[in-house]
Amino acid sequence: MGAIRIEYVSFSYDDALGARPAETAELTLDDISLEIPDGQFLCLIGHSGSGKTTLLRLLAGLNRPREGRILIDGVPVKGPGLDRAVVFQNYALFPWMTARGNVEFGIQQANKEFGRGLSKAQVKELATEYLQRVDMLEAATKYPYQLSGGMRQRVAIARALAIDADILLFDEPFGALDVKTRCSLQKLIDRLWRSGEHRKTVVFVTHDIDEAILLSDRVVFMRRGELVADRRVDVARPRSSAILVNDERARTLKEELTELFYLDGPEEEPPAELDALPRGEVVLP
Amino acid sequence: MKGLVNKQFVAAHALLAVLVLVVVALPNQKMVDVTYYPLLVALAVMEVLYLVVLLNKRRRGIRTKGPTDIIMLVWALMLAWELASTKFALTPNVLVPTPEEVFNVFATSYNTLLANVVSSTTLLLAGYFAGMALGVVLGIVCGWIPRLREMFFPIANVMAPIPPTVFAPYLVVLMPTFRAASVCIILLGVFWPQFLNMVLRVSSLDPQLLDNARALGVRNLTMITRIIFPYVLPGVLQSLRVSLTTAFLMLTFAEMIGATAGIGFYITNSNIYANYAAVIAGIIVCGIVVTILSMLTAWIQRRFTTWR
Repeated sequence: MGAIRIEYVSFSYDDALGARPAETAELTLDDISLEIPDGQFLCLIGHSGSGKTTLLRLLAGLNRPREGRILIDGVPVKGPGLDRAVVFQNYALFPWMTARGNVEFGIQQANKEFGRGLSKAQVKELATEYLQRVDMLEAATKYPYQLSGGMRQRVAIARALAIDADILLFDEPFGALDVKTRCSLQKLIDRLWRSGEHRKTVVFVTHDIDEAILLSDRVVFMRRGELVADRRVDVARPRSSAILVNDERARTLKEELTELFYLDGPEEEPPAELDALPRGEVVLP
Repeated sequence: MKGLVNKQFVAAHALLAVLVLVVVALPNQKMVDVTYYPLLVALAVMEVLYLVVLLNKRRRGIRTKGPTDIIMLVWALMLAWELASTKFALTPNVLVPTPEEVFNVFATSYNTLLANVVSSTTLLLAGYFAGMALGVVLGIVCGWIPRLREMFFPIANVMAPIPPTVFAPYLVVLMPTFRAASVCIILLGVFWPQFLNMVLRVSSLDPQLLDNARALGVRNLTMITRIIFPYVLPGVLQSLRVSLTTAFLMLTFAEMIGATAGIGFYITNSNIYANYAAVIAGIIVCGIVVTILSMLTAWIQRRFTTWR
């Protein structure tokens, strides 16, 4: 199961930095509530600095909400856990492990966490199976620096699936890829998600409207830490990019979201991307 | 074999032939009371090493004039030395020993030399590995735990630039044996730079890699062994050779101030008795030992660097 319930969540990076008194801190997320039923594919969409990645980090347990709480199947999230698999945009893989090593490491971690009792041979077998699913078996012995960006994300997807978590969290996984690779990976995600016996709950952060409409059941638009639109994508699967032109509902949704993007364009410089933010570490002299 | 014999190759061997002829056939101006056989053996060893290196390079398809140029320089210097000292007696008698005398030291006192090399190498390796291991382990721990880092990083910054040699007189008094003091000096020389290097490297670990690890439920010991250690490993491997040089400097220093064994002691001791042939032989041994150790570390570095 993988039902997510976000209740009145607020968050500020200033809390972590301890730079300002909490009352005057700038809120990255402001009183967000959202319910995601089990098996739904939800896209979070918005400008940079809208808080979509932050919300995903809270779901992953990498940051704790300042107020409110996040429940997964009724249990509050206390920290990172293998019931949620995350695919990041950068450094999605550990550079010192081969493609296979990365996938096996994920399986081993889940094996330890949930006491699945897999033998070494079984871990290996599982890794082979998932690498096969993303078409990366030939490159299994390569290190990430020997792989292209798209291949790396394929391996990261294989690892996330191999953990067999109920929830998959994607943080702009294709943000740094070229259009062609992006399309083939979108198809891969769609195919893998639909092929499971039990569909996983997916939260997918992106700033690409087409990608959101092609992939998801539901699109949530965020602006400056608030949810401003919540739309269902009632288009039959499998979908192709043709629906963006031919399908009435998809076209209307695209127009609406595009309008939201333009209307709500950042009036001021958005806060720096998350990557650039210090996370309360000591800066060495 | 084809392509091996070229102009440079012939020139190098012509030079060698001249050198051997001079050694064997030309009458001595200076009274040399030792045979020239050890010298000839040394020349043969050098020639064999040169051929091995050359063939090895050729086998791997590398075309280079480097080895031939080096051997030609060596032959030329040997020839100049031989002519200036043994054959024409142009150099001061005591201060510049003849090549025959120097290489005769290897033939007559190889037992002493070997014992001293063993003594030095054990000291060196003990200090080197202890320093490296402590530096890496403590560096990782202090780099990883912010409170320890804030405490020890400034201290390390003060300690690292102080040459360990200044502690030497006190350490000799403090430590139960001279060997323990020497190991301490080498250890200090290796430890501080390694420690600083590790602290900096661990604390510069990319937050995104950490997030990635945390999202996979990585904690505590697994974090150190599967994430942080592999991350710092290339840095450790890179510093292997630099640290070895530091360790060797510390060793020779330590051995020159009060040792009763070791290659540094051998050189100082021979110097006291104005036995300059032995001094030069000792220096040559130093060079051989350092070269072998350096080749070993280079091999380790190649073998264990897998990513980046």
